[in-house]
Amino acid sequence: MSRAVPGGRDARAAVITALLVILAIALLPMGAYVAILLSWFVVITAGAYVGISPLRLARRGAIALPFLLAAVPVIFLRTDELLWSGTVGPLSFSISGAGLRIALTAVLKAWVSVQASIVLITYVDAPTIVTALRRMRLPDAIATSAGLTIRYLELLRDEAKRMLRARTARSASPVGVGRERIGGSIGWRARTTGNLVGSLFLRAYARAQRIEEAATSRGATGSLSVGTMPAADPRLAMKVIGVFLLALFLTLSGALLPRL
Amino acid sequence: MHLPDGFLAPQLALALWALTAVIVGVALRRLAASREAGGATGRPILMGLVGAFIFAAQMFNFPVATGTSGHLLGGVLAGYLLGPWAGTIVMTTVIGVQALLFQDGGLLALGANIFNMGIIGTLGGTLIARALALALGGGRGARIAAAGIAGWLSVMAGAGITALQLGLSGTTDISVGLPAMLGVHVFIGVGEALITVAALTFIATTAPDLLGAEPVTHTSLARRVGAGAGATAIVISLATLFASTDPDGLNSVAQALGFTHVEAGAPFNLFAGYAIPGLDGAASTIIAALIGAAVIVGLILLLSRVAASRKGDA
Amino acid sequence: MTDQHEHPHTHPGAPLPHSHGHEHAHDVPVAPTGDGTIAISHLHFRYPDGTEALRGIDLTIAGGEKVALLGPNGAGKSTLMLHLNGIHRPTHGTVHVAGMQVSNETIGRVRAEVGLVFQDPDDQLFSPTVWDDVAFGPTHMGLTPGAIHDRVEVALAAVGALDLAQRAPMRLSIGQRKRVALATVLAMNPSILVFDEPSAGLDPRGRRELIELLQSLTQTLIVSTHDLELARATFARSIVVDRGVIVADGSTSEILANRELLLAHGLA
Repeated sequence: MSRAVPGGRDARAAVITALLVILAIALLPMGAYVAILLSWFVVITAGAYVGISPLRLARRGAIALPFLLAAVPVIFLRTDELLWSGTVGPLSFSISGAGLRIALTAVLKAWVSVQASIVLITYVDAPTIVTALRRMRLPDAIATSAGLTIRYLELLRDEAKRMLRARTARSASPVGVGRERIGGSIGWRARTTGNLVGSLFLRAYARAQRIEEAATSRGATGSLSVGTMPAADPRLAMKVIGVFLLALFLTLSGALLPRL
Repeated sequence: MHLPDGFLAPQLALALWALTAVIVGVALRRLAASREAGGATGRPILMGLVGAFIFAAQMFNFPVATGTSGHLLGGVLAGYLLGPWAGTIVMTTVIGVQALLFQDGGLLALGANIFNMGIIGTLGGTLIARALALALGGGRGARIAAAGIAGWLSVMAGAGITALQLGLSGTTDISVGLPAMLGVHVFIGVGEALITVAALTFIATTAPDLLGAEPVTHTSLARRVGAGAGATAIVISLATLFASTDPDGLNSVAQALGFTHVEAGAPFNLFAGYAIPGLDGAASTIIAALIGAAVIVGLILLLSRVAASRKGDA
Repeated sequence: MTDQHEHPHTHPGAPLPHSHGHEHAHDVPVAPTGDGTIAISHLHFRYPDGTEALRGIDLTIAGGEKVALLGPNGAGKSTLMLHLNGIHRPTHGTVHVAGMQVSNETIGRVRAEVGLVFQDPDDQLFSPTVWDDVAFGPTHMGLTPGAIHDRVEVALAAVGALDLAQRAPMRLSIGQRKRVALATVLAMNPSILVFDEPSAGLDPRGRRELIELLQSLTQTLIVSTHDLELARATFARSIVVDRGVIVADGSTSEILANRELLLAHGLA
C-alpha cells in the first residue's frame, strides 16, 4: 500500500524536508491560523503525491489532539484578553482569548506536524531513513542498534502479543467453587506482569546471541550496515535549497498573513 | 510524556536537541571505551534486540482499577540490564523509533523527549539506582529494590521536567500543569517500580548470570552514607525545584530567554479584514468564509483523487 | 454445585516414562463442571484489516469427543480455535461452549471451561518455576491456597511432570515444556481442551508420549495438526478446513484414505 521504495534510495532530502517543514511550522507565531492552514495544504499535497488521502492524514493526525489537555490551564488561568468571566454555581472562572489562542495554535501545529511525519514514513521506510541518517553522520552504534530494533520490532511485539494472549486465556472466573478475590492481588498481578517482562527479555537475549553467532560466522565485525549504500542523490543540493525556500516561504507567510 | 511538535518553543526544542546530542555523544564514547576494555553489554546487536524488547515489553500491563492499568516505560530496567551508557543508547533508539514509526512524540521535540525520558530517566535513573544500591548495602536485594525506587523517581523527574518545559514555552500554566503532571505520574511511577522489581527478580532467579552490572565490592559505611546523601541531595533539589516554580518567575525567565511570543494586546477580532469589496458587513464576511470553505473542500477532493491514483500506481 | 470425584486416567499397558514420586495428600475433585459440548452456528469472522478468515462454519461436537482439525496453512484453523475461548468474537454467527454462548458476560467462565494449549510453549510459560506457572490459572480464579495447591499437584501428576515442579521452565526440554504447558491449562479444570500443533518440534519419542497423553485425557479434545499420523492414531473424527470453510467432517480413516481430498486441500 505504501509508496516506500525499499533500501535503494537516498532519503536525505526527504528527511531534511520533513524536519525543515516541521521547524517552519513551529516558528509560526501564535494565532497564525491561516499560515498553519497553508502549511497543512503543503503537507496534504505531499501526502497525496505519496498516496495518502488528505482525510486519512487528517484523521491520523488526531493522535495529537489529547495534548490539548496540557494547554487547557492557560485558557482558564490567563487574565489577558478576557472573553468571558463569571460564576457557574460555586465556581468563578474566566476564559482568556490569549490563552485560547495559545492552546489552539499549539494543537493545530501538533496536528499538522504529525501529518508531516506520517508523510515521511510513508514515502521512505524506516531502514532507508536510518541509512540516510548514517550518511548524515549518525554514529554507527546508534544506527546499527536502531536498524536492529526496527528489524526485530514486529517479531518481539508478536511474541509479546502471544504471551499476553496466553495469559488472558488463563485469566478466568471460577465455576462453582468458592473464591476469594478474582484476579489476584495487585502485588501478584504486578509480579506476573514482571514475569512476562523478564521472560521476554530472556527470549530477546537468547535471540541476540543467535544473531551474533550467525553474524560473526559470516564475517561481521560489529558494524551491521546492511547492504551497500544506495547511490547518492545527484539532485540533493537542489532539493535541499528548494526545501529551504519552502520553509522560508512558510515562515514569511506566518509573518505576513493575518492573525487572529 | 512524549511531547508532540508545536508545544515547545522552537528555541527550547533546539537547545534541548543540542544538549541531548552532547550527552549522547558522551555515552557513546564511554560505551566504546568499555567495549575496548572487554565489556560485553555494549554490543550493537544486543542493544538493538533490547530496544525491540523494551518496545514489546511496553505492551505488558496489569489492571489496577477499573479502566486504568500499570505498565512499563523501561528506562531504569534497560539501564540496570545493560549499564547506564548502553541503556541510554537503547532508550534513545527506542524513543527515536517511537517518534519516527508511530508519531509518538514529535521530530523537533525528539531531542527534548530523549532528554526527559532517556537522559534524565535512564541515565539519571540508573546512576541514582547505583547510588541507592550502594547506600542500601550493595547486595542483590538492595540493588533490585534500588532499581524500583529509581524507577519511580525517574518517572516523576521526567514528568516534572516535561511540565517545566511546557511552562517555559508558555503552553501550560505551571501552577496547574506541574502538580497535574506529577500527580498523574505518581501512580504510573508505582506501576513502573513494581514491574521493574518483578522483572529483575525473575531474571535474577532464572538467569542471574545475565545481570550486567558489576557487583559492588567496597561497601564501607562512609561510602554508603556518601552515596545515600548524594542521591538524596539530587532528589531533594529536584523536588524543591518543582515545588517552588512559580508562574511569574517562569514567565520572566522565558521572556529573558526570548521564548514568549504571545503578542500583548492583539485585538481578538474575528474575521477582521476578511471582506469582499463592494459588499459590506456580516454578509460579506460570511460569503468570504463560504468561498474559502468551498476552495478548501475542492482542494481536498482533488488531492484525494490524486492520492488514490498514486496509491494505485504502487 | 460440587465437583465430581474422579481419578486421573493413564493408558492401560503403557507406563508413562516419567513416574511421579508423590502421592496425593487426599483425593481432589478434578472433573470439570461443564458438559464439554461445542456448538458453532454460521460462524463468519473478518479480521480488522478486512481479511475474511472464516466464511460460514457450522460445527457440533459432543462432550468427550476427540476431533482432529486438519487443513493447510492459512485455512483458518487457528482463527477457529481462538473463537472457542473467546479471544476472537464472531463477525456473524454464534459460538456455544459447554452450554454457554461466548460473550462478554460469560468470558470469565468460558476461559475456565476451555483450555487452549498454544503452539509455542514459551508463549505460555512465563513464571520462574513450573509450579508458579501451573498455579497462575487457579490463583487468578481466586481459589484458596489449599485448593490451588491441590489443583497444581493433580495437574502436574496428570502430565507426569510432578518432579519438574521447582524447575525453571526455560531450562526444560521442548517435550517437557509442552507437558507443563498442558498442565497450566488442566489446573483450571476445563471440560474442553484445544491444542494448536502439539507435535510440532517433537522427536519420535516425544510424539509417542504425546499420543499416550492425549489418549489419557477425558475432556473434549480438539487438536489442530499437520501430523496425519498423530490424527490417525488418536482421533476417530477429523474435520478438514480450507479457506475458511469446512470441506470434510467425518471418520479419520476415511478422510485419510481419500487421496484426492488430501491433495486438494494441501494435506498431502
